[in-house]
Amino acid sequence: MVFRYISRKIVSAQNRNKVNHDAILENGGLAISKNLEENLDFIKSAIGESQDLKIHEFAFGEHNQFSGALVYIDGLVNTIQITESILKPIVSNRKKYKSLEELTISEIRRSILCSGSVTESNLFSQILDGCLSGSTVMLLDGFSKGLIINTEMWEKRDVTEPQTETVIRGPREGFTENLRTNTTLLRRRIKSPKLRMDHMTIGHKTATNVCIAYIEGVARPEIIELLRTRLDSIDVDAVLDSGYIEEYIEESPFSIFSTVGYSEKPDVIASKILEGRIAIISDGSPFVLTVPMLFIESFQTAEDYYVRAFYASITRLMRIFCFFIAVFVVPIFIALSTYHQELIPTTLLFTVATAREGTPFPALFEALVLVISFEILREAGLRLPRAVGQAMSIVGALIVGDAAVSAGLVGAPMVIVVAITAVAGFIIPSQTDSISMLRIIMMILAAFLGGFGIAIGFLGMLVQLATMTSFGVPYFGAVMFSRDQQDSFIRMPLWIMEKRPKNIVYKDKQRKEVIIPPVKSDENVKQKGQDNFDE
Amino acid sequence: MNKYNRRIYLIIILIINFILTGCWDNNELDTISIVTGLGIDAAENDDEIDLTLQVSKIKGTTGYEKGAVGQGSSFFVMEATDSGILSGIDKLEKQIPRSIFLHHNQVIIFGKEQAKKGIKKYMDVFIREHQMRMETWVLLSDSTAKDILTSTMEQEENSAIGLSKMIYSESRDYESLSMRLMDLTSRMMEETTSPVIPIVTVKNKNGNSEAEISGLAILKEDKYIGELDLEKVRGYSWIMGNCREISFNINIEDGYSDMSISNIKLKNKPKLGADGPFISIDFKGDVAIREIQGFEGMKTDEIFAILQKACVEQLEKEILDCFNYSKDLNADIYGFGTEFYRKHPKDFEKLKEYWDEIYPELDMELEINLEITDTGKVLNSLYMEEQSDENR
Repeated sequence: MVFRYISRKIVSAQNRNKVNHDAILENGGLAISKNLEENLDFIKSAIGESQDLKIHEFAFGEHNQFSGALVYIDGLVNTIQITESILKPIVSNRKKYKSLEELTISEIRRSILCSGSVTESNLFSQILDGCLSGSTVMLLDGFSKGLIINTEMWEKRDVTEPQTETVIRGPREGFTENLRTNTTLLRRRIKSPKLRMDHMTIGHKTATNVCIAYIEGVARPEIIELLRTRLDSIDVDAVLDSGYIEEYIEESPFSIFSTVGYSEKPDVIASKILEGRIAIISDGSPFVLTVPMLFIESFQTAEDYYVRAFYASITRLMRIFCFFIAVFVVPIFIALSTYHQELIPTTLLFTVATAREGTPFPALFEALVLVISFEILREAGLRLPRAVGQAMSIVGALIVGDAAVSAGLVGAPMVIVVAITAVAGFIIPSQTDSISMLRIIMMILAAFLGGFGIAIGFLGMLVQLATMTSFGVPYFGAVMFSRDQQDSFIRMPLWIMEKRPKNIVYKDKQRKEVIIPPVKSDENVKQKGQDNFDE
Repeated sequence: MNKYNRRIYLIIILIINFILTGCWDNNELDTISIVTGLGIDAAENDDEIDLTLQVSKIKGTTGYEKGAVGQGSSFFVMEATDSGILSGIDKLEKQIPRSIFLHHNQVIIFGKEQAKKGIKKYMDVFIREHQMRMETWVLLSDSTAKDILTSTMEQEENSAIGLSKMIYSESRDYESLSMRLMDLTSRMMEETTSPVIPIVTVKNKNGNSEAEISGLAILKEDKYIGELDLEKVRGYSWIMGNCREISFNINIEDGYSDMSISNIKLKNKPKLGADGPFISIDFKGDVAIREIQGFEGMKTDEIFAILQKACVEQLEKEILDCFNYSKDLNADIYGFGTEFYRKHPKDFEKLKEYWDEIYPELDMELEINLEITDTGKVLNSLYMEEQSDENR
């Protein structure tokens, strides 16, 4: 019964028709009237008696015969700019305009105002939108058009080092919550004229600005088109973070693996864009999404490309190894100690058995208690203020762990095994969530079916990974034999990687023309160096 | 029924599968008793055996109190008399609260009395039963298997594990002093070969009885007929060629020296001569001098010449001693018969039936080439004369 109910819910949610939200803006769709007072009254009634709505009325012209008003939201605008480039020029303009016929809106826009971005509009909807997103609206008595002047300026966070992806070597800038800053950071890195930044607005209430960034000719047009349709079909009232968008555009919503990549670092996003991916920047979020995402991207970090290839390759292999440790070591330990004791070396068996002796719970329960309490500790450490978090981790990890062992509730080897997997899981930040879920699934499989269960779970995982796609690109792409291997398990030196990833890129495949190894110093230079040394 | 409905049903059915079947074959570590040694002795009744199991006693350590471990013996011994091994184990299982776990069995020990009666019929279970491993050491007790399994060891808590380590470390130098179940079965399958098994004797030391390796037992077919003492074991090992470094000593008029032979290169050629089959053995090796006593007033060159000669003689003596002993017993412990079969399969078909008559008359052509290559840290001893420069 319950399942039928749930499935019906899901289906009905899918079939539900798109609600026509234009009705909400029906009032705003009205045209502006010529009467200033009427217009102002309408704006007041539309926005309400909000304290931050400012209406500044003024008179201008030779004999102050014309009257007008500036409408803006306090806090979103640059008041100095309003005074200097809107009010001052228009009020102090002594040019003789005898009547309204001589003075036209475009005349004002072209010859009086000293502002860069000015648009004309005769619709209340556009005027209200402009007003609410930080522009100043100028309405003049006797005109059925208003001017929307861009005067955006609000408090924003500086560009700081990102908290999530720290590097030892490499750029330290991170994205901020401001869309414009973020696009600037990308533009500064990719100065190609082919870098496209397409804007769109998502969310009926929040009207969040979203920007799609890609390089024309490198990104595949069909993926861009697919992304656009998916973004267009998002039917939601609020987008408060890029995570909202991620859930609407991902291809396998019921998979535990994420098919949309994210990063907080402009250099990472720039490199992904250069590989042919598309970035989705959402206003209000420092996390920029990239699609399509391959599984192997979880194991790549920014620093892989900033240190030399050998060490980068070693660390990448270690990360992949750690993925297996994090997922499989606890299940294997459970399977060995409950089903396959014959596989444990004799001496180790005695050690494990000694620890096992006298502990009251079965191995699965023991492991679950530890894994879940570890998840609790992790979550608590994240939510608490940083200073308290430290104290808590000491109490949680050291005191509780130690006491649990000496009280005989859990065996010491199990604590070690769980601790190792926990640490290993942190090496792959973007897969931490899927790892902790997989681990518990595998643990249960191992406890019920032993090594056979682990094999089934592993195969299931592989099947799932191999069937998934991200925007039509196979999720397991770079793991297969192709030239993408050069940047999957290991990273080849940068001068060898002359082509962009095979599955993602469109026409502009070559990063550079030919593979040229770094030039060896010729004899003259050597001789010169030797001479300097001799002196 | 739509797509999602079907998926949810599938998941539910999968979960129910797990829950309803439960943990099939689940054996928590605290529900098994780990057997470390298994002994088979002759029982009073001819059809039966006395089965002895050494089971390790796992002492729970609460927390970090490790002190509890290591005091007293950490194993106990169980006995049963039955006609089969597994049925004996089933009997024993009813005496203890846990199930008997044989996978980690380290040694299989046969008592001497049982070995005289024959061991072949009890080998079957070791090959057939899944829990038995083919790498297990097979030993023969000088007295009874129970004596060995009840003995203790100074350094090890568990004497069977200690014994297996002892044999392992010994087998690195003398491979002949070890016999795995796997090797024993293949030896027994060779029709003409008489397998040898290490003998373990129990000695009384400081009030404790401790086991030690004392030689090799010779089995004809599957019955005990005699044994090689440690000196003969060396003679046996030279010919088997499966030794890494064997030391021996020479006691001649001029002095005494201890040396070891390494880099052994052995050519073992069975030949069919006019007078019948014979074995030709070509032995090459590097001698390292480990200790020298005596030889006072002699020059190094002379000493080396003497030692080299003495070495060859000693080796020849040891090899022939062992070979003649085996001829006396009429037991082909070297597997020469199999060697003949490999080289001359057709001729051996005819010889096979008469091998018992041929072997005691078998001749050995022995050629030994030894070279002193290593003298340790010094060339001369304190009391040796300095070597003259011309000879250097």
